[in-house]
Amino acid sequence: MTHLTPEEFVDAAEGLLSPGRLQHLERCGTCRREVSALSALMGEAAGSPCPEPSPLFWEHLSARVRQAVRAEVEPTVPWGLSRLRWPALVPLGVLAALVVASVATMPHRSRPDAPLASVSSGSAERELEFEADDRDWSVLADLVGPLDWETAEAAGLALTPGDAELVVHELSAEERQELSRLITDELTRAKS
Amino acid sequence: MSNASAVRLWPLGRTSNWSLMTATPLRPAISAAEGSGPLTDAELVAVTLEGDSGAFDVLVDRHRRAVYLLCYRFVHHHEDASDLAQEVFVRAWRGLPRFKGEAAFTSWLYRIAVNTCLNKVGSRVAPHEPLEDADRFEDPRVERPGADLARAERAAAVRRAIQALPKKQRATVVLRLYHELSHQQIADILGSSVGAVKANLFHALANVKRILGSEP
Repeated sequence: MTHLTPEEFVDAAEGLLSPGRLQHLERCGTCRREVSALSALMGEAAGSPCPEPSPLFWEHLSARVRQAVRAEVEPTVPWGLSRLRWPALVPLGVLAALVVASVATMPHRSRPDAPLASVSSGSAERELEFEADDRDWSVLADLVGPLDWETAEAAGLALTPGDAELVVHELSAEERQELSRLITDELTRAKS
Repeated sequence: MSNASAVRLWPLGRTSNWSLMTATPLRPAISAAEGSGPLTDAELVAVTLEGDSGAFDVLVDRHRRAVYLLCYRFVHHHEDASDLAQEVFVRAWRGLPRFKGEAAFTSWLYRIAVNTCLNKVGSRVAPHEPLEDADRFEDPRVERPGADLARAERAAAVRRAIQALPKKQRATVVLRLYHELSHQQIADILGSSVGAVKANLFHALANVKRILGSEP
């Protein structure tokens, strides 16, 4: 009679071998030794302890999952300006414009006469001007361009010393990251 | 005289984690939906897909322990297992609309867990367990601490050997020996047949034996 197959060895080790094959096992020392060794190893492996976490851990895990799942629920919007809250956009636009303006006034190795943006110095209508071919800046220009200084001031949007720091301080981590990206992009572009 | 009676069989019949239920009270909306008893997994999935994410929270509470322990068996590290368990549930959340209910939710969730764990640890070399890990099983009140230490070292060696197994063999061992799932359940999870699961288990244990034999 043939020896047990791998499946039958497992059945035998788990006490599920068919009566017909059990007869072979009773007569075959080789198969019996194999089953004993297999069973012992299964018992040894199964007896390996698994430390139980603190009872508080389970609620913590559920909370983590809930948070992660809720983050998934939020509508997916592409990275970019659309992730920034509207109230932050105008001051950010002004802030970014100031950064670009300051970069533009720095000496350039190339394109010294082609600043990307500038702030007009006219006292009556200080409007931010942006290059028309710059899509990112045109979005900002659309947002802040029509505002004259008085209107912005009346709306509480005019900058006073410390406003930029305050705005940055109030940004979420995500918004700060996006602002950093925008500014870095502009600095890189201005330097090139 | 029957020699078969001398064969020591692997102990069966211990409490399984498979039908783990939660003691967490259901949310009011879900409680209202349940009639006479707790909602089944399939019903909770349906409620979730109708837009009540609270039902998914109940599923998480119900299966978090089993999923965490499964992950732990793959990585043997609490923080990693926590991260993996979270990832499993997030993947389940994403894939829920594709869950057709043809298999049990638990099988489906376990499949995600096994795939997540294997993807994570598949290419990683099995970590060497320091001796301190073995020491924690030593009880100084025991008269023969040396024997206990040897047993702990042997258990650590077995765990290392299991971690060194090919992916499918490793998953089979974890699901069968640690989680005590039936061969049919394992076949459902791994997408194979009962015969293949048994053969996998046999070859996995043969490999463990070989690895243990080759260790210094």
